[in-house]
Amino acid sequence: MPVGMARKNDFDLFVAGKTGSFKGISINFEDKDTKPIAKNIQNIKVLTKEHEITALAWGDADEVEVLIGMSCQRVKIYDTDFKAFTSSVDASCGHGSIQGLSRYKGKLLTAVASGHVKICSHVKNSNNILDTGGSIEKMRHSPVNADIIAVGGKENDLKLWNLEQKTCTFAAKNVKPDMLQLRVPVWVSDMDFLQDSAKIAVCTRYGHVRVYDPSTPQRRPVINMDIPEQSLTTLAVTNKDNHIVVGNTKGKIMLIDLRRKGSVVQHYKGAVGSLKSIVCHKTEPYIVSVGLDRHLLVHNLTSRALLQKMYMKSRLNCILLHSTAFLKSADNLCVKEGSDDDIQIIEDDYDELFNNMETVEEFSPNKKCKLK
Amino acid sequence: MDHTETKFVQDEVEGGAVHLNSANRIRNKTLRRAQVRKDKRQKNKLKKAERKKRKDAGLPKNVPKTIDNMREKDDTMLVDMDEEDQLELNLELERDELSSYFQRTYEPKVLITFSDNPHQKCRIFGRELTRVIPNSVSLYRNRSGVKKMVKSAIDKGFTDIIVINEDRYQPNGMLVIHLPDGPTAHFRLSNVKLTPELKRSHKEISKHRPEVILNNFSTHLGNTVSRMLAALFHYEPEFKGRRAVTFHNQRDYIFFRHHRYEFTSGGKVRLRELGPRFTLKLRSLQHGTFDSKTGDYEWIITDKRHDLETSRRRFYL
Repeated sequence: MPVGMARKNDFDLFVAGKTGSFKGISINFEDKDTKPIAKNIQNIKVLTKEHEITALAWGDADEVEVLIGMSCQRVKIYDTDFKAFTSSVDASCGHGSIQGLSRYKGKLLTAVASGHVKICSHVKNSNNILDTGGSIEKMRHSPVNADIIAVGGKENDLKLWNLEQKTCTFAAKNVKPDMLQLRVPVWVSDMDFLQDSAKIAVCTRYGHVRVYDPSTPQRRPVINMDIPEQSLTTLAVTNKDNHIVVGNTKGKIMLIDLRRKGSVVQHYKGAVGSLKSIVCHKTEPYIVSVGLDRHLLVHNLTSRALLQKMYMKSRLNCILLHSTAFLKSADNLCVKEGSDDDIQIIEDDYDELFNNMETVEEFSPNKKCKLK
Repeated sequence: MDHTETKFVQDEVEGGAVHLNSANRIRNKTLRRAQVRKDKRQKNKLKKAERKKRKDAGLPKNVPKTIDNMREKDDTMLVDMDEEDQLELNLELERDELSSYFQRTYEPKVLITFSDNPHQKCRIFGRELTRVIPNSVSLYRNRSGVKKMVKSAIDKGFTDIIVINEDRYQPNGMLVIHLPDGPTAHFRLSNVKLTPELKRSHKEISKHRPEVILNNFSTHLGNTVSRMLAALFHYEPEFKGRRAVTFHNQRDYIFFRHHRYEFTSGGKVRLRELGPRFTLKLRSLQHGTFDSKTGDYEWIITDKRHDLETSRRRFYL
């Protein structure tokens, strides 16, 4: 990506909170002397109770435009190039706050808590509102197939909708009753598409992590694990295969290996309140999380180290991470880009090195004895 | 021997240093003790002279080092905030769940209840709280769940619920729920002293609405907790009753005291404690009304004590 140099003075990530504050943050991990910067982009004086921000998303593939969804069902658009709010769109349909936000074929796509998904267009017709049936806690847009969205909520199990055909392509079936033959309650709190596959990971408020595979006829989860006594609120897919990060209401961040059933691999310490959003860096081992404890945390995915803890003054709802966040210096970026070639060269070097080496003949043990 | 020893010490005093251990050399116990006493007196005298010197020179008094004033710095402290942060805080305070109390839109009405089958001390404690908190009633729980109680209390116009838990005949927990939308705070309750235990009578407590004093809550979390506690009482005290209720935070422990005060003719204030007396320690603060399984916590210490209590000088309220 040619963004490395241009982004040098830009924000790495954006956070948004319950009061309606919208902040840009830049952190430099390479240079220890520079302090992280947090700046209020939204003027706080004008905010009212309806301005609570409940969803953030990138508006385009270049990650220039930020879509900001508010509880009053309005979407604001912030341009990171011009550093200004460019427009505000009314996306009212159904009731409740905006729980998911995206762009579909250049149009705004919003999902509200009552279960309605709207594709905003200038032409006024009711055709652009989709009733997904049941409350929505979260809506995610598939990164692979732009026509597909995933929704889920309280007593509303995971559903995949095709926006082109306006049909439900996949509806999850609840797991079998438990050993007392009681129905297992449903409360999907977050979901995300696993990397390079059609599979979807889901976490619930009742402490389940499930993986669904819509490409097969099976509607029940292909992986179902139980994390008892934990109410999971948010989920993020990591850049490691088969690993996801989940957060709960009591400030626990856990790394979960989906291959081994029900195994929490690691905990990340530092949060004291309910986690509202976790985001993993696409290439680097960073986890960024925010929650009701008003702090932004950055952990190292592998070493578990708490790299940054920032007090953000208000209770936070969502994060938006730039795909090249924390990669400040251009040199580093170049190395990352050409990394495959470098490895190739090194391998060649080693081959040559080993070929040129003299073969050392070992003495047999008998000989050693004789030498003695 | 006595004489020589004393002289020895005095010489040293004049030299500027006092060795209290000088008495160690005396083998006679009585004499040694006398010497120790003398040394101590001497030392105090020196200290006093030093203090006087400072005072005469117009220097400020020395401040003793305490755990409290050596407290570790916290990002969330509400002191020395810049203008923008102050604005953001005010904005939040203006519109959180407790703001309607501070805008005086309603009069608090408090329901006090217990765990199931409360014992005598717990019951009396609940009744004493009704004397402290104006417009409050103490009712038995009748095996009702907290979530159910919250619903019916909202219907009946209550604005707060206090649930007192007990263990081994002693009150040990207090749950404060602000209605209708929370927050919910869970405290550990300890050192409960009832009015008779303080050798007082409940007849001394008048029906006047008390003044509420909230001391020393310095962080964002502490501010929320203090606002919750304030919201239990009526916002307009009746000064005629000269009754004051104090929640004093010291090292994250909240001490509750209940006094009647009096201004004497000499211009001094006299206090008479009325009781009860207890100590609270915050365990968790939850967003919304009580929901321990799926509710969102704003701050919780359970499972995290080793991460949070990292130092003796680290406090959260």
